[in-house]
Amino acid sequence: MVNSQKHRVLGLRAINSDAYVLRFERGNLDFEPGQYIHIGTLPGTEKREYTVYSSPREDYLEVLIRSAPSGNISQRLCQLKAGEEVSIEGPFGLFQLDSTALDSPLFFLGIGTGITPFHCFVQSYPNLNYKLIHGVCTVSECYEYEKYDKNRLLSCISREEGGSCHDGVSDWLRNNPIPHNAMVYLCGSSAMIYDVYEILGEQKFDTDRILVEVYY
Amino acid sequence: MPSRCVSFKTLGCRLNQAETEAIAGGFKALGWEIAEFGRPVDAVVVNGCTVTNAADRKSRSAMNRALRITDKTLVLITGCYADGHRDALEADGRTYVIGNAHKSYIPQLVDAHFKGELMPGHLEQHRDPFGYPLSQPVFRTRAMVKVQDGCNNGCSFCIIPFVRGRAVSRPMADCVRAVEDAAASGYREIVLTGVNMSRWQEEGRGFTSLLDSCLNAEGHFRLRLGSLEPDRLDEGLIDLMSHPKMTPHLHLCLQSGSERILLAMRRQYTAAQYESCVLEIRRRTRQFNLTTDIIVGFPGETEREFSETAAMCERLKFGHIHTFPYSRRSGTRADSMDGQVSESLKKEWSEIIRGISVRSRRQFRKSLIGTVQDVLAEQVEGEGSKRRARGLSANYVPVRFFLPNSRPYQQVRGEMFSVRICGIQDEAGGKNSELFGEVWNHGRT
Repeated sequence: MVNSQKHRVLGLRAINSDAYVLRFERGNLDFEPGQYIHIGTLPGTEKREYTVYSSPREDYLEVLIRSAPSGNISQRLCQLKAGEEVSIEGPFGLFQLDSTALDSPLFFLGIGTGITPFHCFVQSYPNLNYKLIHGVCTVSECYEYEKYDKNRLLSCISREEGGSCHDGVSDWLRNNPIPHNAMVYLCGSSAMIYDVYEILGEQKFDTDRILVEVYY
Repeated sequence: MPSRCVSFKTLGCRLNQAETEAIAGGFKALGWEIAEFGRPVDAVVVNGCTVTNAADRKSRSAMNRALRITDKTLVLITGCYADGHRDALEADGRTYVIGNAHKSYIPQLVDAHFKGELMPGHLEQHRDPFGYPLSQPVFRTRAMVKVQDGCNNGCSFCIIPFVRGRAVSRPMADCVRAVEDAAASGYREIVLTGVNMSRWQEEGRGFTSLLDSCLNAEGHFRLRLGSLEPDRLDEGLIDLMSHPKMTPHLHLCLQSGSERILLAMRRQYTAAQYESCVLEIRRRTRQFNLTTDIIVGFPGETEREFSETAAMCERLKFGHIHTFPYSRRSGTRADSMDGQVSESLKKEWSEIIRGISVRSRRQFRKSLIGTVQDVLAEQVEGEGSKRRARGLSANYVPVRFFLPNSRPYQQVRGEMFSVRICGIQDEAGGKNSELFGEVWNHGRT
């Protein structure tokens, strides 16, 4: 049986009407940027996976949560108050920056809360040579853009005016081939990742230079 | 004083089977008799599984059957089913619940219970996923060496990481020592097992290093790998597939031939990577037998994705395909996905994959006719001149062969025979095809 640890909630920061950053004590949890943890409310044993949003350099942990209408766990997490406790297991996952390729151009492609691991990368490695392409439906999903270098961030907002382009991430990619010496990191739904994979394949991009993290 | 008697019921994966074997060996070493499940005994160990809702039902049914044996029978529940349902089982109170982490100490715990003793120290002191003694040949003729436990992969259909826990690796020195001990005890075949062996690691070294060290361990044995995930098959590992001690067989879990479904399953490889790896292994090693698992009817799977899987199975000509209709498991991501496939369609697709498996298995086995295979005898049947043995070749194909009268084989089970494959016999209307042969040069290898 997996061992859970209790962590005390430090606060909840609303980003929009249904997205929040939950901050809690880090305890002795050690992780690599890009890894995820299982979080559950107490009492109870049910948990869900959340990538760590904050950098390992901080003495707290943060996760970005979108309160899904059908998500029991996410709804409960978004109602937590400072001082309450959550149950945490982890870290898990292999969606990490390849330390041997940090000098390569890095392309981060994510949709919605799939921006989370990239937030952690950028906060953890200040001098990364990255380009972040973030796909969202509305402007309200442009989560804490002030934390990124604006020259490195491109938002694809599909259902509202604003952002750098009005197409989806896949469409942007079709018109902007990625250099073959880059490393590509994809985070989002399996459908988005599949589409991007196909496009990169058509562009003869080496699939060994792609890392993916599927979100549900 | 007559011996105490124990029986076992094992559900689920090969690792569970290997662990039951080791537990049974532990009981034998303490002087216990092993009986068939269902007979009146002093204790029953149900090594349960929780991988699907159906596995839960089977485990619960086995437990209830064990509880009906006699009023005095001690029933222990262990395995992932015990870890996944601990609270309910303990509240029920009719059984002893021992989790995976303490499973290796079941013989000592039960023996102490019947002697009216207490185990020294708290149970928590005996938490060791690798604490099994070298298995004695109770049910099997091969030694199982557990090198890894747990999984961090987080496949969307799988509950196992939540019950088996995080990936842990047995130290390399322990693994090599266990292999050498097994070889010194006379085992001619040693199987490395684990929940996700390809994630074995120690101080920057990965599974390839472990396999290399085990293959170069002292002793006269051949080495087989249990089920392997295809996400860490590097060049070095592919090289080791042609090592003289390595059996030319891998059970490499594919699950789906559709890139879209593999992503939804959150597998850590692509179908293209899998295929390229298989072709490379086959290019380097002749008569390599590749077997696999396929899940059909995963949420969102349509005729198109299924056709991709079927086409890949046809292309890769697996020696056997374990076909699983997708079975929902509460608590997993896949359980709450849209696009659940009807049971009738899953059944139809399963039959198609099973048909492909039957054809490619027969084709592979037929290709061995005329070759000489080293067969590890597992069963002996018949009398006198009709005495036959059944065993497994290095590439994991069952072979039957007559045992010559000229050789008084006292201990046929567990011995290796050099067998010339003479032909193939179809059974069950062609659904199963078994090789038969003759002992070649009257020699044991």
